[in-house]
Amino acid sequence: MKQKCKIIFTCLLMFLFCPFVFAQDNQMSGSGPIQSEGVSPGSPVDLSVPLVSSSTQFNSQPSEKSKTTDVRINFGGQVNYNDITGPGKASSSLSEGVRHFENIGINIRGDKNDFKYQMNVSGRVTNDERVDPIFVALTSLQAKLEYKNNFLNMGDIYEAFSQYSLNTALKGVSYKYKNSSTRTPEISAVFGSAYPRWESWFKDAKAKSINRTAYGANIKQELTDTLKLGFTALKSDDSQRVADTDPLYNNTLYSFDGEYRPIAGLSISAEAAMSQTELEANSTASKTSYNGNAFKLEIVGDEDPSRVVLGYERVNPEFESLLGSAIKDRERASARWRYKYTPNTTFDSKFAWYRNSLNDTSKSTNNYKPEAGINIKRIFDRKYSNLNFNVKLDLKNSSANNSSDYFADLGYRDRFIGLDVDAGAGFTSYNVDKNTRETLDYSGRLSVSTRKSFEKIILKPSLNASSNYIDDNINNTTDKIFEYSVSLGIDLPDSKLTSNFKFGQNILKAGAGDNADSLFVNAGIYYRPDAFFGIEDCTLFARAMMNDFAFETDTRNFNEKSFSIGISFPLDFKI
Amino acid sequence: MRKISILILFMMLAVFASVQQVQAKWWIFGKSSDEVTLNYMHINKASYEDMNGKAVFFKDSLAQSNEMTINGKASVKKAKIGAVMVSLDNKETWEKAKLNDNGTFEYKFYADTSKTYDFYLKAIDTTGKTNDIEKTYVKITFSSQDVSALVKETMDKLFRAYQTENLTAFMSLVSDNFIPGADILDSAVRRDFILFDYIKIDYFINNIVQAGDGKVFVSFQYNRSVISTKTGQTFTDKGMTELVLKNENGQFKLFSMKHPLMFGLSDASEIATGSVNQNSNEDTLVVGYDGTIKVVPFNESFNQDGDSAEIKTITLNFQHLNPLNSTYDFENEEYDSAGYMVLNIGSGLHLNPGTAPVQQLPAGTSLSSTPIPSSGYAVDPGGMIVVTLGEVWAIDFGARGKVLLLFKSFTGTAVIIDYKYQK
Repeated sequence: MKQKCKIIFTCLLMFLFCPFVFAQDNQMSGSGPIQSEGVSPGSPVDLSVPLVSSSTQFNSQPSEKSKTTDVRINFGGQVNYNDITGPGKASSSLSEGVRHFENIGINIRGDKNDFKYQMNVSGRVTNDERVDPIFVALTSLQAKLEYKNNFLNMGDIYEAFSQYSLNTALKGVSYKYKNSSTRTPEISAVFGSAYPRWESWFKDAKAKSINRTAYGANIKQELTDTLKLGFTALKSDDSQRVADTDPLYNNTLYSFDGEYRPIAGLSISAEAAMSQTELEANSTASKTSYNGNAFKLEIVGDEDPSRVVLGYERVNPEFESLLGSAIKDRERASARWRYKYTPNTTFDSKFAWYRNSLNDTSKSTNNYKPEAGINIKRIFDRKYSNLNFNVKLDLKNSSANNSSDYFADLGYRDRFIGLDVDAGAGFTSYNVDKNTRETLDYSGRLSVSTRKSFEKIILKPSLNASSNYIDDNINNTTDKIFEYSVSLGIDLPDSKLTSNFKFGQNILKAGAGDNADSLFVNAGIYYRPDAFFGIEDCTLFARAMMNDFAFETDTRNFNEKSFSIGISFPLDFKI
Repeated sequence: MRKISILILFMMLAVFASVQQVQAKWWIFGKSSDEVTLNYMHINKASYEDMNGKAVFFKDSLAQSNEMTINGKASVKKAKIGAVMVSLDNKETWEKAKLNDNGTFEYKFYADTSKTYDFYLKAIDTTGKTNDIEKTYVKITFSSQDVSALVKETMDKLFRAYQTENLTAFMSLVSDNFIPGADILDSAVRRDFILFDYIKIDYFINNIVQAGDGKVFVSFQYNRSVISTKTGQTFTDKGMTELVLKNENGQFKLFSMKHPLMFGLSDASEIATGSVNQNSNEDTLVVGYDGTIKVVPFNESFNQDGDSAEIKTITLNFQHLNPLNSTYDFENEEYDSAGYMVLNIGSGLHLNPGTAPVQQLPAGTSLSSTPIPSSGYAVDPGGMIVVTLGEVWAIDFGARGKVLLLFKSFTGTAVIIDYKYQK
């Protein structure tokens, strides 16, 4: 704990100190044009030549290199008053009473010659436990250093090595060497903990989590103009079990990935990974070890008028990707073909198959998802028209049961006498054999909106309505849902005011359950003055909303009202 | 079934190939014998083929002094590439790029980020032929929005589309490369919309971290309520979760999500790629494999739709075999003298699993939320194990399946056990 605090404190000190060091030299220097003809791989571009004007418009206009440090402070805060009444008030998602919520973020950035630095710190204060159970939270802490081809990140870091190996943010440090102008390998190394928030690091009782320490490295190399390869080695080690039932993993993962573009328009990418895992399933279980592997291949052919994507993936049940992204125990193949028949007509067809339980196919569920669709723009020679039709099947077969779901959607968008209209209809059929489920869902939606500008006022009215009929043929019930809302936006540009008002109702007629009728009203007004007590880009707002939930069972009724006022503004200055 | 799917794949490929009459040469990908072709091109490391004529770069993520680098390779079969020219002003003026013998080229310029550049590239071979210049068009713009603002805007759109149950709008914000498949999320979200009514989600971003490859990791708190269309019941939950967005042509799209899920709860085990590393008892909304909506503590929210083993209760009477021992066949749900598990009540309650490996789970383990362990069993514990009420044990019978047991009560002549069995 002490060591972690020291590390953070040192980092903070270092990066707060940086701006003042470099701010000592306030001379401006220019940079020269990049001589495209003269750039030779391996030699960094010379940016130290004084600024000169050039006959060419583009490759001769280096921006001024400021040696100042830019500081931006963003603040946003609001106070809410929430009032909840009714016997079912426990179902409300609001916290009662006066609640406040403040965010503050500080961004410091600057550069000197080839050295660039940036630091972000942000925090949040709230007494609303539904927003955050922690009263004062450090939401972000990040420092970035860049010197020529060297990049050092500290604090919140995110290095996406590859899909299977590392695709999550860590709290720690990462280093990268990357030289864009040569074919030297790009090398990255990372060390950190996969804590979800800083309070977990500080062992706050409300944010306890297992300590998953990770370290590893990745190397990427462009072997030829058409072939790129990458290799990752990553180790993660869990410790500090919070509950006896927590599983602890010790995982080592190796991954190869690559991309090959043999001809223009065709790319083949693949990743293969293997993991070695030691698992202690809970505090009393003995440790077990197992190895797993995963492989994926994607081929993309893209050349007008077609785009074809073929994919295959197999992740075996013993593969553990604790910091990457993978669904264990799955084999999947997919194909997609998008064909632009004319500039305004596009066909899209997809097919996907996947299954689980790879080690015991008798328990596998096979999924088949064929899909086809067409999109036509400017139909009937109408400028704003857009017609979309899509059908999809979703079939599942397993030894336990089979299901077949059908989806069909039709959508149409257009503009009539100045009104933007968006309408859609859908049909869905869910069928699970052995009389488990037989449901038909019919849906429709309509949205009409417009924007009218007058001399000093802009009006933006809109109407939305939708309905669903869900027939359950097994239980002989029908659920009916009706939803509508009416809204009006009023902008007064000269007064720097924008506002909106919305009213709506959701009605559920449940075939077997409790009927529900929800009414909602919300309104908001936003004022963005040129300057507010000298602060530019400031926004002041006031909002009010009311939700009224009425159920067939009266004891579940509740009503929630919320009133909010708030302010947000940035403060920019240089040091 | 696997053969059928492979067959369907090949059939689809055959259908693709058969449409050549409609538009020839789509499969050639521009590789004709005497055409000047562009093998690949990157603008600031982003592939031009993914841009669809439009590229948006964030000002705050540009290299030093707004330096932009365009590199790539042009080729022609029967000649050699003689020059590569770049236009940034809609073909009004052309600048020469650095060209190597093998057709690779590089061009750098300092961008004025207040401008929009209409980019074209012309590769000329030694006989004077050029590539299809029109196809190289890219409108290059620069966004002054910082990444956080754009992430917030995308998140707002995602949540708005989901809350208004607008599937088309929602899926337009999902990457085609969504892990583990946009089609799976599409089906799951459709099912969500059937199950949920009046979805309300407030989210509060904790932090946003950018990776070098256009991905952004977002961690946030959420506060959610839905009404079940089946029962009319209101469900609320709150907590913290994480997702990844990917920048595709200046627009962030949903790339992956962790558990607890915000979208696609109806097929959570097929969608969540990992779980937020937290130990929390926050209420978490889950949808069971049969479509039932539940709110359970986060620590018990995993595998709600993955472990379909039913919890059953048995009362084992020790008189059926002999006064001291009882056996049970979990597969056929009957007493069986040649059975799986032997319980002994010599001097208290004993579990005798024979040679089957066992493991004890911590007291308080919930059968409803704990899957039957697939590993962690100790091989051949040997002899009888003393068990006390409230203890949870798992036995691995190999090919005959696994069972998870909770010892609930013991009267001296009978024992009541909750169990889950899966072969």
